[in-house]
Amino acid sequence: MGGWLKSMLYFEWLVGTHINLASYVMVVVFVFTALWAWTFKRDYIFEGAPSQHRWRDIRIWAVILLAVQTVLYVHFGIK
Amino acid sequence: MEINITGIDFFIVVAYLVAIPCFGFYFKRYVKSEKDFFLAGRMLPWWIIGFSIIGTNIGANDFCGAAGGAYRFGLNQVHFEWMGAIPAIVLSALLFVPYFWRAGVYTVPEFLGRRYNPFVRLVQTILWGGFMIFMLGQFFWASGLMLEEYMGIPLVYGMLITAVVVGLYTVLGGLAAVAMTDVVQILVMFVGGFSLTILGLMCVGGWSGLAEKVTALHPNHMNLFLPVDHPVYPWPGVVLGLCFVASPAWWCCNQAIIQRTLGAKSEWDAKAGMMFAALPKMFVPILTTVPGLIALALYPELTAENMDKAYPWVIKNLLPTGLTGLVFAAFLAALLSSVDSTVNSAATLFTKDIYCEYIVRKGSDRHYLLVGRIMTAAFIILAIFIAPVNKYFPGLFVAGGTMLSLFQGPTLAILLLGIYWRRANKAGGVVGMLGGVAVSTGLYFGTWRALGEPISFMYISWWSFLAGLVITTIVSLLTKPQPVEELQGLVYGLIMKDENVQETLADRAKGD
Repeated sequence: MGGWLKSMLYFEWLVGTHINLASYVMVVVFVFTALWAWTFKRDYIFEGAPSQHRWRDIRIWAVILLAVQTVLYVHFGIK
Repeated sequence: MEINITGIDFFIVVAYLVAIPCFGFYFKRYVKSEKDFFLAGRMLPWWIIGFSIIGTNIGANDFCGAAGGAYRFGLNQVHFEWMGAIPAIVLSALLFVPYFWRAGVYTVPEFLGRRYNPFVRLVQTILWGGFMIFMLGQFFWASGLMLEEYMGIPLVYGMLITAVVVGLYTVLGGLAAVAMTDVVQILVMFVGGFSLTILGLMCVGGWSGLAEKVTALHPNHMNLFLPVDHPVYPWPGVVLGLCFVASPAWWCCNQAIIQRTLGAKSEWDAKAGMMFAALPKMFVPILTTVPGLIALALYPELTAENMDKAYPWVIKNLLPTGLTGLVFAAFLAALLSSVDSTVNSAATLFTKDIYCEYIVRKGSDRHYLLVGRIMTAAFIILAIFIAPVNKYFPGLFVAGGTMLSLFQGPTLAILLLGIYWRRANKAGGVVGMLGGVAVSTGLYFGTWRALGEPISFMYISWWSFLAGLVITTIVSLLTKPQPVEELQGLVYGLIMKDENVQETLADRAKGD
């Protein structure tokens, strides 16, 4: 197997990057996902809900879950 | 690593094994139609769905496997519960679940069949159904071994006890019984699991003491990510393969996971149930990964071959009488909640996607209810017969897992394009799925031949997902688009704007 192909398939070209890069990538993913959740309209989120209380807004649930993930990955992942 | 469950511990386990089927059996009274059986009459609230999803997701193998993984590789095992689950759950709750629910389908392959064509549905049914049968065989084998090792019950009798316990409420009560018992099982699992972790942490001097001891033994074990050249868990593979592909494929396409949301009493409950599942999921590393690290800190002598004994070691050496029975019941809870869900979902797949489509197309409601129950019993019996294969042909089970991993990237690709892009069409879906599988198979065998071992499944998932996306897009653009009428209610833009679609879907969801 050609060296360049193996390097591409196995992401060997990333050898030498700092391990913290992985945590930074994940933090970006979490933040992006939280922002993406807010692209859904309110009507779509509450469709079928018995009331429109704030606690039923699952976009807020998503943000809380992803915020906790961000804290965990920053705390344990970034050295 | 022998643990003898005796006295009060034995009583706790037996009481648990008797109570669970009695509790599940109670829900038989609510099953009058096939919708009641397969979708719990569409009456499940969000919190039951969330707990049931996690009950389905966590198996007894996870306790031993994840603890063993943490013992060997360290803290990075938490990725399977955190980044390998939480973003995918959010994606599933907001994007996929509402479309499945509104489409009024019973299964994920049924949705794909409506969006693309019956061939895609058939392939997906065979794939997921086959995978579930393999899983069931493993579950029954594991249950037999556990009851034999810890309670002295002969292996065959152990499997039969599991079959009777699960069969009693799954055959009669359907999804409602499965979901309700899952809630109880989750509580048992978390109480037992947390007790063990707290006692373990007290023994090693808390979290800081644990980190200190583990780091002294293995300097990289408390790192969340491992280097690019790590042979098993390189970080690019974990991020791209696990977080971006394998995890969304599992949380958005797996019938056993999705079926609970299809039984929701409203679209909001379906979405909220999936989202709520992320909350207990975040705590799972405390039940699985941390005990593995505790075992390493206290008993670093286990070899690579028997690291799955890390969890049993902690049970045996740290727990007082009474708590051992509770933790063992938690073990069984993890196992039973996975068995009942898998049996129920396998029966749903084969009844709705095979029997209703290819054998009896216009049967009565009662007929399909009866078939569903027979299928459920048949899967339990089949699993008992398949279980011993674990001992004699373990490679077959590896092959089952391998087969699924070759499909998951392309499956996610066509599902994602199917929901998000109305230009994706039948030809694109079929060629994209098959082309993606061809790429994953080629990668698997090509790297095996060239390098002596196959490429990591995380990388296979990533590259086959990309291939599926590209092929589906190109073929769709080169062929005729599907008429809009065929896509109503199945594609993003068409469900948000068209009031007629909303009405049609609401009627379909009500079963009109």
